Amino acid sequence: MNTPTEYWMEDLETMPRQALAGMQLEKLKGVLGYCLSSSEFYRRKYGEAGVSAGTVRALADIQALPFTTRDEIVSDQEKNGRLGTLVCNKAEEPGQTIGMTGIKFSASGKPIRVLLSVEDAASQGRLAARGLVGAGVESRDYLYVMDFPQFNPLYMHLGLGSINVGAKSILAGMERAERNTSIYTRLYPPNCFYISPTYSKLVTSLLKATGKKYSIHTVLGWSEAGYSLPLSKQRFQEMWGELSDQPVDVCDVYGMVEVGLLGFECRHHKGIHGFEDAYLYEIIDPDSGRVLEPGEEGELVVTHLERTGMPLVRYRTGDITSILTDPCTCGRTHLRLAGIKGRRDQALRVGGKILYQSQIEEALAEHTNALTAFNVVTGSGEMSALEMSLVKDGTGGRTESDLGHACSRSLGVPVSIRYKSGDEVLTFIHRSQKVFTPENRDRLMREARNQRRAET
Amino acid sequence: MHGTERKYWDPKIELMTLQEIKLLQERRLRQVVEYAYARSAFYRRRFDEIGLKPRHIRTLKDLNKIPLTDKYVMRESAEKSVNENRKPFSEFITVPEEMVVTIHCTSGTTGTPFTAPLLEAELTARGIIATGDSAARQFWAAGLRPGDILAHMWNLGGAMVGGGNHVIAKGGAIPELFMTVIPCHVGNTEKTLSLMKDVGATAICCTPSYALYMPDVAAKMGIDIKKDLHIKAIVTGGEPGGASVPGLRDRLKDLWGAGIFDMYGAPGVGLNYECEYHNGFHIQSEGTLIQVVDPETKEELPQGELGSLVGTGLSPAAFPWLRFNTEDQGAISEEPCPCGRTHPRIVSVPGRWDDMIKIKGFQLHPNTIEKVVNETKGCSGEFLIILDKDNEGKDSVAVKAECEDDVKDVQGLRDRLEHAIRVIITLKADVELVPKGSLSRYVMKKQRVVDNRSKDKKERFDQASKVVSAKYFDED
Repeated sequence: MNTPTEYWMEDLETMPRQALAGMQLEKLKGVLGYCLSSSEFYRRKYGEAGVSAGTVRALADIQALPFTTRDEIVSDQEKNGRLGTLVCNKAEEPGQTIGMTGIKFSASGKPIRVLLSVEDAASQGRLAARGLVGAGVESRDYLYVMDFPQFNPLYMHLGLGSINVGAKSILAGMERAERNTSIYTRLYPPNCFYISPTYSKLVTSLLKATGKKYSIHTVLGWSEAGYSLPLSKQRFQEMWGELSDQPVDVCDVYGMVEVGLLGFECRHHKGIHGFEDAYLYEIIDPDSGRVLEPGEEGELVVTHLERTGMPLVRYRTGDITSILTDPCTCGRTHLRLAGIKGRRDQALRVGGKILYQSQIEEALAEHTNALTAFNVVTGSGEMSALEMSLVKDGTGGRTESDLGHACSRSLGVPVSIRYKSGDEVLTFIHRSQKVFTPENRDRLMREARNQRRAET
Repeated sequence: MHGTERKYWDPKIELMTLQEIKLLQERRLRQVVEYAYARSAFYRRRFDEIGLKPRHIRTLKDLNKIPLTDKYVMRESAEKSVNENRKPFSEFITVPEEMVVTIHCTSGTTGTPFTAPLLEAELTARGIIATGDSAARQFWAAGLRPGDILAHMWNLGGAMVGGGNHVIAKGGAIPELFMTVIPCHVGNTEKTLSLMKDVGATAICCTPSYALYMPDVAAKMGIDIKKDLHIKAIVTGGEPGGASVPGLRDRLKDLWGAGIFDMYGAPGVGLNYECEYHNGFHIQSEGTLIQVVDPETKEELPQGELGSLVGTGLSPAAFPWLRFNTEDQGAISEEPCPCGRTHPRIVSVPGRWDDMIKIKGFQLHPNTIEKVVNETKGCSGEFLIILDKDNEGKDSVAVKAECEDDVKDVQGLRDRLEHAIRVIITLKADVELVPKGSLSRYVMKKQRVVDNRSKDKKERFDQASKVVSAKYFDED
């Protein structure tokens, strides 16, 4: 791929690791001081833990700071109202923006309300620009931003990042893809998409129906693991490739509303590049809290190094991944994350093993032709076998038992597959949840229905 | 920075004398005509077709030498460009395509949501068509100040009504807009209302229909709009609102306990805003020149006369607008406004000419019926005009109106409404009262008319109403 710019901020993105660590330490000290002086939440919490502004003198001292959990923030906001006591700015200060988590899907119930200052938005816009450039987006590209705008700073910041790069953004949102595809793509043929894996299934089928070839070269997206999983990524690349007159790079983006944009895969597909000038990334053993080494899998903990509205320090994301520090072909020196395996609280325990939805997706991508919708309805405890309902189309004509055995070999646990009709398998249009408990089924069915309605 | 006590967002502009405004407009007109002629193939072609040159445009009187452009002409150019594998704006654009950073798209105000917004696609060189500053002027006039928290409920993805580009272009955090902004978009009303309550939102910008719809949802949630939310002002736009439909403002004030400020903003005419006197929309005249023409003859009409609004953008733009005929109906007044702002006002924008119904030789506008329905006690405000052919093949008009649940004498109400309508429109319209909630409600754009006079139209409406009534009607 021939692009005029390899980096958005070359010095920063290729900074030698020692200098980067020095920068991180200074910023961390700054953040700690700022949180202690501006946030009642941190004053209280750190006071109880015996942490003061002087606690951090080396990067390793971060381990003396207690973790912050999502539940703590939710209950602080419930108890104290408004944006809670964690925020460092007042909500009324002009020019800020407010967001909220879980609008499309709440992974775990109660939302967190988020406050971002003008500086926070500017910082995120630069990170977005870095990510877009690394994925291959250029200023002459027409970039379709197909994410959900409501209370979503990530959408705003991607839009701002696009403006920074100079690409032509079409802020299509996540609704009425049929109309958007038939009208806008005719007027402004797309070159790049920012779109979730699930949604790209609908959009590619709509584009395919136009019978045209487009000059699409980059597809990025967040909110689901699909683009990072090697076999799934291949399927997505094929799906988009069918529509394009050139090869398509499918790049994963990792972020969350309460933290921000956390990483973008570059065109070399060696993992998700973090932004170590903006965040400190740690991997911990989720049970003991012990910090793990690069290469070891565990729960991602992040700390804001550039945030004034609502900085999070040692925030337990609940996501399982590992850190890679070997050099990437692109020349960026910042660490990479090895794709998000899944959410810890959504792990399945089957036949003595821990399994994540993403692993099931990979197994199906390996043994079937399509990115098949599936459901696994779980109980709360250990299961002896993985029972999946699948929609039959696209499974390549294999029998239930045949496919079950193949998946079983890949996953290392007993797998039983039942084919069901399209109506009986809960499917989504925007963002999917394929593994759920019976108690959540109704809520998810409503969500699926709302997603369908937004499309008509 | 500005003090919060001052009355105007930008007094040096908003209090210019009318004479200064005109001199400024004249100078800018000369500049923008030169600019457009030199750089826009479209305008050069239009000028050359009639032998017009930029030097022929010296004063405001020369404005009318410039040919009118309407959406059909623009659409033609856009289609031609697209068929030649170029972009729709290619003939218009005054800057290299490389400078474009976002595409502003609108849903199109006429027809069903399926209508192609071909013509209304606009773009800017720097991503901002309604800048934070021009919006600030409007919100300041509505009484909002630093410290207020704005729930932004215009579309932020897809339809892009209400200039969402400028919100997103700043990543949602817009210092020149002087408020904290919550990007609420449309839909998921329960979550939006909860969030507004939780963080203490004090202002809203949305469509009038959405402002009418939200109290119903709040009631179902057990939220008391006036006690639990403290909204100081609602700025409505995107469809005819309080300024054009008088009963509507009072109704909204009643529901929300807030100041209700209407606006009229569209590509080519800029952002025109109400002040506290609610007597028309102040034009942002340093940026836009608006005149009124006769809808049939296209001749300019004198001040105060109702006709089609024609807008000319006075800043050099990537996409110039020179004498764009919006086909929106209005009049201009240069009379001094008690608020002190000197800029002329657009008065009375009842709606678009396209919405005008021609029946039995009369012109009937849905907003006329809307006014009567809103002013008739016992009606909920929802109505539908149904045009059909009677058994003798003659045009007939019927009005279905929702009545409130607590009306005791339904027959009496029906008779009163039928009489009131007849007095206003002269035509006899059969009135049928239906229970509250039985007419489909459209949050974004209301279709008030069902024209069954041709079978095809009837089928399309039935189809559209099935679809639209399911949309936006939120989470279960």
